[in-house]
Amino acid sequence: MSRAPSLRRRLLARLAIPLLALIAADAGLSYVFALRFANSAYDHWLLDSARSLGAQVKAEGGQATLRLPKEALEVFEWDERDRIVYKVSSEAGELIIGQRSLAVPEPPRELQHPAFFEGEFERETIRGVVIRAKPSGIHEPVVIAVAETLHKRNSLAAEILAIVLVPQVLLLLAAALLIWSGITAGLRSLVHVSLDLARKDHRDLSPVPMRDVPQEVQPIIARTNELFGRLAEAMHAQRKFIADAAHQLRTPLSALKLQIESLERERLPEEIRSRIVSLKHAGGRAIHLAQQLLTLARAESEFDPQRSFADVDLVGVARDVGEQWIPKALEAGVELVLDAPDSPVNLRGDPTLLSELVSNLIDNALRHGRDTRTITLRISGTPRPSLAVEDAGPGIPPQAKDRVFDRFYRVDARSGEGTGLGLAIVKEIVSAHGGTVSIETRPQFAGTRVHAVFPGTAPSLQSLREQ
Amino acid sequence: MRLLLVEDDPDLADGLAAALARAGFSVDRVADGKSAADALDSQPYDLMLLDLGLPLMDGFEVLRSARARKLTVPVLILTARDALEDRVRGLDLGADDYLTKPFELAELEARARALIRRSAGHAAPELRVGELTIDIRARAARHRGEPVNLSPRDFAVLEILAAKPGQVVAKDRLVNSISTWDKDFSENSAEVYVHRLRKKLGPLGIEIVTMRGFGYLIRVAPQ
Repeated sequence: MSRAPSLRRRLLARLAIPLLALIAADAGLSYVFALRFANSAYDHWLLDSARSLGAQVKAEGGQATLRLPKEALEVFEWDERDRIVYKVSSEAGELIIGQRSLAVPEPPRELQHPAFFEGEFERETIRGVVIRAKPSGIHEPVVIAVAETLHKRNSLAAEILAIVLVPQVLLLLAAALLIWSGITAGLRSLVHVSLDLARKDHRDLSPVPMRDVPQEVQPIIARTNELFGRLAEAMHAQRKFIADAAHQLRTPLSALKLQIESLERERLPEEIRSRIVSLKHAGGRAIHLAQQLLTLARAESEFDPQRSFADVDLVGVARDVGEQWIPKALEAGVELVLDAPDSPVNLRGDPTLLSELVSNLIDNALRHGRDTRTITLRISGTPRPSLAVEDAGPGIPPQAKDRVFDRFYRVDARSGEGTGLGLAIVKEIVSAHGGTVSIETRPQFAGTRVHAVFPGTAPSLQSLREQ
Repeated sequence: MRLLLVEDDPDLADGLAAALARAGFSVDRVADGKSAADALDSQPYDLMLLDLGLPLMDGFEVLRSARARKLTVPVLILTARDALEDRVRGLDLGADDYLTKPFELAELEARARALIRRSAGHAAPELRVGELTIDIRARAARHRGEPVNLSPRDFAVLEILAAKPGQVVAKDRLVNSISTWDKDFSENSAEVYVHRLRKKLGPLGIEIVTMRGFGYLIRVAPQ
């Protein structure tokens, strides 16, 4: 199950990936714009500085010179965070004042028109402005460049970016959280639906209730219910067929049995009598087989607990069926013992099928227990309703133990006794009631013990969550 | 004893009619529900053997209409259906007993006789276990004609057990039926009384078997 795609994760991924991309693009754009704002603010200051520096250039003996008091220069160069460098040179490139190593591009031809540039100075990225100025008394213009490192600009851009980005990221997180909890709330109704489904008995084909189911999920449940409906119809048809087949098969078998029994009462020559005995034996087996097949088919088609399941007292069933078998058991020299609590042991079940279950177990023990002196029916209500039928016979060979519940499997196939369906019916009936059946034999148990355990209550919420 | 057999399967009806005639009944056969209703109106019967799945009018309907016309003929249902609700429905509609196909001929005869006896009002005046005869009205038992010395309490226990010879009688049923008039008879003392009766009957070849968890059973002791 862990490999299956998660709706929550998929929806989150679908939403989060484009949102993240959007935020990244937005961040890039914001940064570019922030940097432009920062540049335009600080560029203005650079240009002012360059112009005011130009205003200080004086002609001195035909030469352009710039003399500034030390304090003025300090004020000019002082900045809290950035380094400010400047360079004033003649058009020919002779340095008048400033940093010789500052690389300056060609300024625009027109006077006072700025050209901004970016470059590197002493391993730091800088941005600067260069202008051409022509102070009075000088024929040749001078080139003035002022540049500064980018710390202020970068941090201003970063600040702008942060102001734009942080709310966006918070928004994204909030959206993710809302989506997660929204989906969880939406899926909760699915959990209810799955609990409804899990609480159903395994043959209960009634529709799942539609309450509190979100619109999007309703089609799934509607289709599931339709499927249940079609299955129930098919099961009903099968059930009806079995009932009809039972009737059709039983009537001619009754006639056969009756004719043989009447014949047996006639005064007949010995050789014919012995053939009638064989006929009776074969007829008896055919009847037994037909009965067993019908019981098996009925147990298989038992799908609608509301229809046929009722509160059944297992002790009462064992007592009634046991009483019916007592004459036959005594005839075989076997004592039938009922070991049951005084109080009823109730379970939800089909009384007819549960009677067949007990009957088949006793029949099985009588047929295969051989020299057993007793057969015990043991009923217990704790921890869950259970029924065991025990004999002290020879047991089952180990290689047969796994196969005794198979249809038509007989431990001793040559005996001509039994149909090989008894324990298959037992298993089918127990599982129709949601129970389990097991067999113990020698050497663990002194004989053979078939043990059926029925569910006491519906599956708990806890056990469903653990799945 | 006149008996109406309502069965649409010709093989089964033939076999049943022959076997029942041999057993001393005079049998009228019909093969559908409508004829059954007509036959019931034409003359009184001591017993009706009624199949449920019938043409024209099913067995339930035959039964319902017969009871609606206040016909009290005992009805034994022969059903091929083993569904509990069918049996319950049949008994609710006024059937007296039912047998599921395929049945033993001997069982059919026994139940048919029991139903006829009961409706004639002489329900089991005398019970019999082997050579022991129990006269309910005289409250006395005889073995090969010789009176058997039994206390009233012994007789009460014997009467209940002998009503179902060879079949088990639940201990609580025994206790419940006797303790209504004998307050000393309890679950604990039942074993004592059964033991006393067992000692008296043993020499006569009759044994009372204790079926652990089930109850008691009276039968002719195997040789």
